[in-house]
Amino acid sequence: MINTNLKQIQKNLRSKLKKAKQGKKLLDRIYASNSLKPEDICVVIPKGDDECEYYALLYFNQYKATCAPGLKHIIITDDAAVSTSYTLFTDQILECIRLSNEEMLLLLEWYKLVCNDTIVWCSLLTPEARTGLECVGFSDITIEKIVIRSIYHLKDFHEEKPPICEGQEVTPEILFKGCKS
Amino acid sequence: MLSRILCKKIAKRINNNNAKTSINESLMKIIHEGRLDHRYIVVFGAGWTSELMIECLSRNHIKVDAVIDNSRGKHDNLIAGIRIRYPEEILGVYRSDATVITASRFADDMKKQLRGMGYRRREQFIALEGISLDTTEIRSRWNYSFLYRKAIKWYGYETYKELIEKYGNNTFFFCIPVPGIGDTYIVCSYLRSYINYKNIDRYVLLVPGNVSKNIADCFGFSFVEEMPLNDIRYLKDYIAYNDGNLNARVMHWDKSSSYGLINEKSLPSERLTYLDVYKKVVFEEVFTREFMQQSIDTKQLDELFHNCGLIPNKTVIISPYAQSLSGISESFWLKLVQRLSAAGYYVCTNLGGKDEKEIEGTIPFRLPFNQIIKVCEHAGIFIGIRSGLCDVLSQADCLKFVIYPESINIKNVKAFFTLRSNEFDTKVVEVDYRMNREDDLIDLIIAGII
Repeated sequence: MINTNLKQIQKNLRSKLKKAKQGKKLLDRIYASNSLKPEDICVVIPKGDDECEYYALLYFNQYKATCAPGLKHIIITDDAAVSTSYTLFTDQILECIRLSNEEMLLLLEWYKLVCNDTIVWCSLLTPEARTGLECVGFSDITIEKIVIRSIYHLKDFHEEKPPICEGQEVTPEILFKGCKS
Repeated sequence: MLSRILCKKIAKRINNNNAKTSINESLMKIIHEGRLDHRYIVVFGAGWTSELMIECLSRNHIKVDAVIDNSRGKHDNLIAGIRIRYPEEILGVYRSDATVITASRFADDMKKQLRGMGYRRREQFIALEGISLDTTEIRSRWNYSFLYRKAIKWYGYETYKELIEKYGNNTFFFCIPVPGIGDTYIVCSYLRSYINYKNIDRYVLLVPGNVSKNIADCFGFSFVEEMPLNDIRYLKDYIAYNDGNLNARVMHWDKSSSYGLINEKSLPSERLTYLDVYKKVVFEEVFTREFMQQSIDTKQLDELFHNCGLIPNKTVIISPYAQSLSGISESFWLKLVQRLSAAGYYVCTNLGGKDEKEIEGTIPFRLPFNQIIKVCEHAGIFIGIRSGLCDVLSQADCLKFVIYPESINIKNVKAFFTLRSNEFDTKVVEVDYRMNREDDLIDLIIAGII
């Protein structure tokens, strides 16, 4: 049995909503400073799930091709490996914004609350109630397929080859060891 | 209490202002103005808003002649039984009687495209109001959305609080957040073994509406709370929002309102079935089934059949209605009934909702869940569109044909909703419906019966 202290639960809810509001303000500031319109898209790649982060970058160009022309895209991440190497994968990003872990948590609370179409949350681990990870390993399901089909919703896609950095294919292992562009 | 009332009011107000209401209202206005009379009607954009439009037009006896979309991925698929074409295919040769209607936020681009094809007159293009959003609208929607989401989280909290106060803080709540018959049946089928596995002594099953409650009753669950659908949806959102830190669990794969990655519209594998998803996501691999109880004996069955003039094993129960799937034409059912009658079978239509009507030439049946399995077994044959009822009848030991129409939202309906996965129903015959091959399907079914 878990916490059933209603006062504590209420307090938690207040705290989460407060954080969500701070997350919204943070995102508003990012949009304003990059002259983005509300319909422009931010792809959020949080730290903690290397494989998912890698495939989010690898298939970004294919995802972008499915979006309405004229929409701008930014990446928001708290992972240094992503912010330093995203240019290996795409040149179609307006800006990559690096947040602190605390700021990323605020953004997560905002996303959990509102979850609108303009935020693409590339993670299988967060938000916690997100389903998907349970199915990895079943049949032919891989993290790559979940990113392609369930996060980016790509119906027609082709297998993407890893980019080359310093004569070497950039795999998730190499990327998160610190390959710099 | 005050906050609950306030949250309820905000949530209700926003709910009433949803896209479905907006589309229906706008379309009704256009229909009443006679703007669609004697026109060649083309729906532009093959998405969920178009499905709503086609449904609304069809309810008002207005036929949609074509659906067009620029997307290569959608081309040649079906939406509400209509084949999706490129604009040039349908409107390439100028038609003065064409009226193109859309509920897309890309309406301005569509208008430009059509003007380029010569469709410049006012009556030739209708963009429904309230759907297309400009920048200001989207920005205000963000704020609106924040207020709305906040309100429903508080609403969810208040609902949870009431439940704790009613049942005590050592009670665990299992929440079924969808009104479907099939979902409730599956959860009830596997719930008891899951409860035992989790060592939960005191629990309450929360269900949306009396249909779900009736099903839970048939499984012998003693503590079942029937709740309004909105209450249960907001509670589901609240449970998900708390990341599992409550005495409650959502018994559906889409645990959060929109950030779940596994759903029928974006499956990571074509081999994944809905039962696999239940097994993995909802029941954590604890998947031992129990069966629904029936309370009708052979004598009562004989009496029922006698009173209705039916003969056991010579009766076909058809089920032409489903909540999630549509697209099987009425003419298909009429032809099927004629063929069955000609072959000496008695045909009954199983009816669920108030608006459902029996197919011409059949006997209407409204059967309770604690009888329907036995009645089908006594009849001998069941033929139905894939619906929640087919999940219930997976228990029935009779000849069963389940028909899968095509759907724009789900790439392969049959592959995902198959009843044969996890040995759920080993006897069912599952068949695909194609509008241009209705006669072949009828031949196949008749051959299977006779």
